[in-house]
Amino acid sequence: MNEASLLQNFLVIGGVLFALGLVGFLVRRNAIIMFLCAEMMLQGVSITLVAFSRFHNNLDGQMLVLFIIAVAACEAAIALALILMLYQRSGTLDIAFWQSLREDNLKPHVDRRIPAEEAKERVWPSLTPSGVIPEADVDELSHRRRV
Amino acid sequence: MTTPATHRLAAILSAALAQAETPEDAPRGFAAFWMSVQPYLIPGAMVLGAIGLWLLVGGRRRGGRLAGAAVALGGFVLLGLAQEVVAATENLDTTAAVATAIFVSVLYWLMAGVTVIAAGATISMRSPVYSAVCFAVTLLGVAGLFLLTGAQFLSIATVAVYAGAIVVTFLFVVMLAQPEGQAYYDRISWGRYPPLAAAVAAALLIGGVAYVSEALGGVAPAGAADVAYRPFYMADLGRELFSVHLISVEIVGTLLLIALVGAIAIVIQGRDPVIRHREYAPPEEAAEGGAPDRVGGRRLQPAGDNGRE
Repeated sequence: MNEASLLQNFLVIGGVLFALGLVGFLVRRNAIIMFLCAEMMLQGVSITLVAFSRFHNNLDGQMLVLFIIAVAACEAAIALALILMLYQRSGTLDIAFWQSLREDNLKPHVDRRIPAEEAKERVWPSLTPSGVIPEADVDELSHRRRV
Repeated sequence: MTTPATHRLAAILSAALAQAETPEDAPRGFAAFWMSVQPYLIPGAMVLGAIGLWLLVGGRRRGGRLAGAAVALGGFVLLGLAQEVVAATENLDTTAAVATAIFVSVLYWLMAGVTVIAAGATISMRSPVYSAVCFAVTLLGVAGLFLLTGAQFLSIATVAVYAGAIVVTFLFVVMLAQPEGQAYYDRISWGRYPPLAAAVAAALLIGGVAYVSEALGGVAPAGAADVAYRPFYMADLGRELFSVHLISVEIVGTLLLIALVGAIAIVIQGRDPVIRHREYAPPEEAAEGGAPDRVGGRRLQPAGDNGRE
């Protein structure tokens, strides 16, 4: 594998990572997953930079990736604090909850065809029962039904 | 949904076997076969990738997501074949060079496969916990790719900083922010057409990058004619970092401090504003009466008319 085809392979894999992150960022509505997808786009750019650094046989691309990692750490700290505050105010991670921040001339997004909750998704992993089954605590059962 | 990929792959394999049955001009026939197939590989990968991504992220049922994963994987394999065409037609003189090329290629596609499969799982998992874990696996694959490129320090830093610190912080936030009830919003996304548009845009992006990087195939690396490739080690990286980029290091350190202070400030600002107002309001403002209805520039309740029925 010579240098040019190595660069070609790494460019393609960087582009694939960037595109996957793009799709996730545009499609998902969970704020945490959206932020993960933004980090994935950064990874695609990092792969591209490192591949060019190897291709040109110098260290500039690796330097830039080093600073990208540092800036991504800052970004993660701020964004996760923001996500926590948004969650504490709204009680949901749905990013569409904050669509009142949109421009005046945009129509609100209305959810259609909300799917019914399937019963099998509520099943928790369980161990094999042994001994006496304890009495069920009603408060505990109603607390955090879903992860 | 897997029939187009399997049909195409079966056609490619049968054609390859038919070509391999003529031993007198096997390399030339094989190269000619690659050349004949090559123009269709990247468009096929784009089509399969678009369909697969759409099913993967827009599918509401488990079967649709699995089929989408299979179709997208078929598209990725086609993309890999399109990359390997160049390597297959490359002239290597010695057996050791051929063995090295095959070894590097196998390692590369192992890392790339892990990275891309985990990335697809990250964007399609329902639960944020699974998404974060799959993203950690993606980071491990990226670290392997870095190592393959010769960037040892970046590989270690990716594992330590990203997978070790950032993903764990993500998991902390996932544990702290557990919404009650059904997370229906991720299944229906923004409607029917935005996932399709996003998948098509991603396929166009991947295809564009593949075409452009294919055009780079004949370009010689700068400085490769006089200086052979020499791997950079951590000492070289550190020497360059603290000599050429010293001011950048200082700036990034300051930025980290600012981000730390900013995160703490965000958390403090996010406390209950009514309690904060009562605690910290000056006495003359409290004497005038009238706590403001907007504290800190926000309403106490976000707008309820956000379209949810």
